[in-house]
Amino acid sequence: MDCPAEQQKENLDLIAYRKKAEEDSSLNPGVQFFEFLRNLTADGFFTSEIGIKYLGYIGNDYLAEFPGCPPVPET
Amino acid sequence: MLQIMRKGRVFDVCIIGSGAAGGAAAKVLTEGGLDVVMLEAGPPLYPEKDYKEHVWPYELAHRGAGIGGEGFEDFGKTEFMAPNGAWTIEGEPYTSAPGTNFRWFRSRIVGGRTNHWGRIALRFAEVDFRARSSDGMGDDWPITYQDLAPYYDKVESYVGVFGTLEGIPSAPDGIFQPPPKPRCTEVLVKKACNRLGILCIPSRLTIITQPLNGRPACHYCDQCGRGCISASNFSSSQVLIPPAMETGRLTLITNAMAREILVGADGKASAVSYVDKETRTERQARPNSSTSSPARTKNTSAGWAED
Repeated sequence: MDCPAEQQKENLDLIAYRKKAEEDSSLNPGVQFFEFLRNLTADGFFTSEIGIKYLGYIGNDYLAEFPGCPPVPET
Repeated sequence: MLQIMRKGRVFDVCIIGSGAAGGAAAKVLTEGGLDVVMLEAGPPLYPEKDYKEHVWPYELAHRGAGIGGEGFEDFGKTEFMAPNGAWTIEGEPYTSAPGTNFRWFRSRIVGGRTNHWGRIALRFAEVDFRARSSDGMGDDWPITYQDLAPYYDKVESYVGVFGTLEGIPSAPDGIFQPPPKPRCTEVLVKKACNRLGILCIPSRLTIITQPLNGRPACHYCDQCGRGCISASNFSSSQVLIPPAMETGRLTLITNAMAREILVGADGKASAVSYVDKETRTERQARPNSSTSSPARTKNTSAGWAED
């Protein structure tokens, strides 16, 4: 916490982007912690009213009829 | 020493468990004129209050993830899931043999696991009744697919199953309502399967796409696991037990954990001993012993694997 901002970011990059996690197992607890925090943050946002709106989620509602998928282009 | 309470009333039949089998037995037997007592280990269920259908995460405590996020570990513990179904249930011990980790999703509530199950409703195929003679594993059944087929017809007509007629020997056709139109992912999977020559057909689920016996068709909210307030998917609690109740011949005792089927000197079941979980007293439900039929106590609970 007492590190300068630059070093703080450096440490966070190590556990957030996991580039060296495979070769350096001492990073594992940090990687896991950051993953947990990142998941909770995403869950927290995307289960909020604005988060659901942002996703464009259209489920959890009454539909009189289910229209199905629009035509899928030939590939 | 527990005090044994004897219930005064005598019934024709005692059913243990209120799930798919218990509910079906209760409906058929009460409509046939028998007085039935049903023992359910869990509490009563009030779908309109207990089901979290159409509720948004931000309307619930912990965004519905359960206290301390326990729903992350056990999806039965989320606040969305239809009540009292989970891998671990408080006050309901579960053990597995040393060195094994067999897990069993359990339910303690009226309707049992029919409140939570994914509604997949496939018929057994002819080959499933002849396991020993076809591949040497298990045993042949004493009945055949043809013996059971008329009952599949009856059940499917009543509970409502969607599907398509395909003529596949390992998945016999049934009485189906039309399936919903495929979603985009399903369209893509189907296209890929066609290209690879893999048979890909709509699922067969007890979700109604057309009104049936006063139940409205599915409204496509995609939240079946929460329980369906409109009973457009099948549960024993909403589709089998209400008509049995309407006959006036079903006595449903909740929070009643069956302990033992008591057998009389004549070898016939004389009563079911159960523990009333609320008062912690032992009681008995007594089928009518004056009838001349063999033991009429039915243990229908799918929870047979628990002991």
